[in-house]
Amino acid sequence: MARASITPPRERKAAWRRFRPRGARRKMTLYRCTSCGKLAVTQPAFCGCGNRKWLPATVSGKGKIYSCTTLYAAAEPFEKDLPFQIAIIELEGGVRLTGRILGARVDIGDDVALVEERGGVHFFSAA
Amino acid sequence: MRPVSIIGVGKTAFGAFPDRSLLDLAVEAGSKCLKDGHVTPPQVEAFYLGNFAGPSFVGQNHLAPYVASALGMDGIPATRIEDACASSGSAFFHACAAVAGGMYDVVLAAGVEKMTSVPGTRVTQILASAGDLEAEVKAGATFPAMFAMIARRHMYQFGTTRDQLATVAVKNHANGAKNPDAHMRKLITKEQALNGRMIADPLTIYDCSLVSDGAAAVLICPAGRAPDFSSKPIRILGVAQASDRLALADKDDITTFRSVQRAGEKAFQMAGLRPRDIHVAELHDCFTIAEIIALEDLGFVPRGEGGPASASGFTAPDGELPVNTSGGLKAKGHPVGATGIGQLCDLVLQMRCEAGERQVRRAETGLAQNLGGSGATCVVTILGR
Repeated sequence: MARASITPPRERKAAWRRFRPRGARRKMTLYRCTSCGKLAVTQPAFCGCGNRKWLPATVSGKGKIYSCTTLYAAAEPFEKDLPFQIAIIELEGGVRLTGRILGARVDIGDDVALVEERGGVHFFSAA
Repeated sequence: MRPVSIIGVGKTAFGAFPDRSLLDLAVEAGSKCLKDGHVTPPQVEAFYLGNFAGPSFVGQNHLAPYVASALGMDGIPATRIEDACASSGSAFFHACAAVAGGMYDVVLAAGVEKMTSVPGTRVTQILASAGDLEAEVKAGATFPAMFAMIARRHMYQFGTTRDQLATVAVKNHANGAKNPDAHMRKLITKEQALNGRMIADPLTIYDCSLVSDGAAAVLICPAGRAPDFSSKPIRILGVAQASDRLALADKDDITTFRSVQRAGEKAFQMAGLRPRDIHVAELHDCFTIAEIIALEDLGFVPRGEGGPASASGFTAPDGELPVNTSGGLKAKGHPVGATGIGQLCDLVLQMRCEAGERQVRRAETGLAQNLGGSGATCVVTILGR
């Protein structure tokens, strides 16, 4: 149970922009069911349609906030990051995932883009 | 399938009890229940124990035989059931299925949790394990955070307000103040609820249920034999369990719990009743928003109207459908593994007209809804006099 928290990339704004133009985003590799075309963020064994075959599918990493919250209390490994915002992001393609928000706080309906994936955690920022 | 009745109930107070062990609590609830049902330990044929995280909170595994032996129930089948916060609802469901199916006659179902002997941040971490570790907990999600996102979306889609959430907290604290066994017995005002310490916006500390120790137990038998044991047996008219995906992000719509809808539909169908036939209910208010959504998912109010209904007094003790007259998880307490059966004990008290100051006017039918995690398990029970 005791996992180290994933350290979010430090937000060194000026240096960051030198290497990444404003609004740049990473692509994401998801999984698409070969039978019904449904997208999944991590490869499941069975699709809801009963199929077991998946192929990688690249998506843009852009999405919209479906819901979000700023935490002021957290479980043990995450205390040092408080306060931080997490969100359920709906990616282009319709699939959703839970991720961390870096930078300015976002609200439902805002556009976001993937900044980095680290240790299985996806970090998004307002786009 | 034969009809089943509840012939005995027993529970501990819920609260923080540094001097009481998990075993102490389970034995107290079990003994009270056996006494209430006029049943001696050798008469019990099977034991089902709901417990969420005994191994994490106190380090003890293999809990069902451990508790069974301590209660003098020697050699019988004894099983621990874990379904997060629906652990004892689930234990009850499986106990009912066994009696209904003719496997046993007299069965004891109990729930217990001992949570207060570890630090708060560790409690948060253990509770979070009822969520999807890879999909959401790794990103920092806690249970308050998951229900905060649910609340936010419900507010966005239906216009539910923080004010309406606060009315749930105020009502349940007012009810808990009349319950001598409740963890928290102080009244709160709407202003206090709104201005409390923010945990995960928009939920404050007053939107969240409590971390408690406690245990509860029920004794069941075939309805035909119930008069042998109890002068006030309560019939189980319907009981159903349903599941759903763990991760919030995997659900099509986080403003509703499909497991609640599914279990509710099945239970109402079994009972041959409709929502408006229910006189009193214990709903799973792990967070204020959960009570509001339960009203909608069980069909007591239309989708999206749980907030206005709560604010209007629909669920008040003298309202059309009194909800959580015990104080709910909010004020009565939420010893996770004990909660489901605790709700049944409180309903039975109402239906036997033994709820004292909290007695509602009509209590011929009752409904208990027990939710696991952020909705991956739900058990709904409908009782009748």
